[in-house]
Amino acid sequence: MKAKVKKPRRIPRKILEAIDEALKEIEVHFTFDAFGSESEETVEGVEPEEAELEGVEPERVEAERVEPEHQSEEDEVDDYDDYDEDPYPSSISAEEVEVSIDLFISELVQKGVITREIATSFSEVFEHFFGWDHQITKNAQAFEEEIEGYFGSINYEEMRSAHSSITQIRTILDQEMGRSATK
Amino acid sequence: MRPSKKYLKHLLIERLTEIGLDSARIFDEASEVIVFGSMAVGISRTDSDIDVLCIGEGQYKIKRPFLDLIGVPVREANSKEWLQGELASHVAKYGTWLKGAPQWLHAVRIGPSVVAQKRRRIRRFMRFLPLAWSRLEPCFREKYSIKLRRETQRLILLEQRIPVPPTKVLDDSWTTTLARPPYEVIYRLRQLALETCGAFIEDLLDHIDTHFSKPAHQQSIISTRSRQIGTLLVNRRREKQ
Repeated sequence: MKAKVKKPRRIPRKILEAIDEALKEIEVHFTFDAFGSESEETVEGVEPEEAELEGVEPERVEAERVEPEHQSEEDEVDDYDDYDEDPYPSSISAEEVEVSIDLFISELVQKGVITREIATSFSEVFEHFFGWDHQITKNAQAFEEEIEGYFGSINYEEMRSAHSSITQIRTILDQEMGRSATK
Repeated sequence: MRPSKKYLKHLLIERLTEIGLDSARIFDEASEVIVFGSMAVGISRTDSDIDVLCIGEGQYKIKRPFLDLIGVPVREANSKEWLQGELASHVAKYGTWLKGAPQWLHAVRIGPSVVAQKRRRIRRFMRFLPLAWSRLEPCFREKYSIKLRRETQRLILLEQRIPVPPTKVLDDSWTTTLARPPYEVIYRLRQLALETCGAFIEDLLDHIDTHFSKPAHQQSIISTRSRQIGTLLVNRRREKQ
């Protein structure tokens, strides 16, 4: 008897395009080639926090720079800002990535692609459309775990792995888009 | 009432087995096994996660439904960085040792780096959220208002060198007191908010006000008083400057 070959799911082009568009919300936070050799070099004479502010409109930079004046006396004694260094390249912010994941889901909900009941997390979006055993779902689960960290802290290796997972998600999605275009 | 070691050990073994992990091996490889968080202090629900720290050979993190397990190598657990961290101080105060004895408690001290890290985290949320706020689904706005309120409560405690209690204690302390914490949290959030995002901070504070299922009159008291004092504190500080 012939063994049944599992057919890959066909995902409507419209849905793939919506996921593709929403995924950019997350990818934009990894687009500075932060884990490449170039951006790991700090800009000469510029501290990581300052480098991060480059390209931000002047009002925001001003607001950031006056912030230390509001520190309490205790802060000044401890000089906490001496410890104000990131464990990963300055262009990546775990907090921004976290918000961008929720923007990803929000965008799909607002476009009517999913409902909040169907997908409550990043990986569930992929599980819903591609299936639990699809590689893209596994990558999405890995990305979620890597970006979660512990006690609000994410180490460099986890962020690096998250970057790798999101890259793989993009590769698979592009392949699916290509396949869908040729059908 | 804090649950017994025997109960916690039984529960942990049960949950490890449920997800196919070898509990005997986990206990064997660790010199210390500690339950912390709400489960350790007896304020959890039956479906709460059990938070476990294993100090031993490996570095790992296992997050499954009902179980958060973190492995820290002995060398790291004796490092200054770890001993001055949020987790170490929390475990030292609220942990229940299922295996081994606490050898490192005397060296635990909340350090300035953990305070700076917490402040940086809140500041980053406060910088990015206004740009995303209007596009986020209501449930996510709710999520971030809870997160920012809790993280700010934690920051205030850490600045005072007070170990951060389990989350439920943080939530309860907010609802049961009209004293300093709400004013302080609101003051800090206003301080960290950018001048240009007044609408965002007001909406954020609205969400913070409505987290708790309390009688409406109590909510409005907290809301009005804490907002007034929070704003007053900000204005006074500005005037001084």
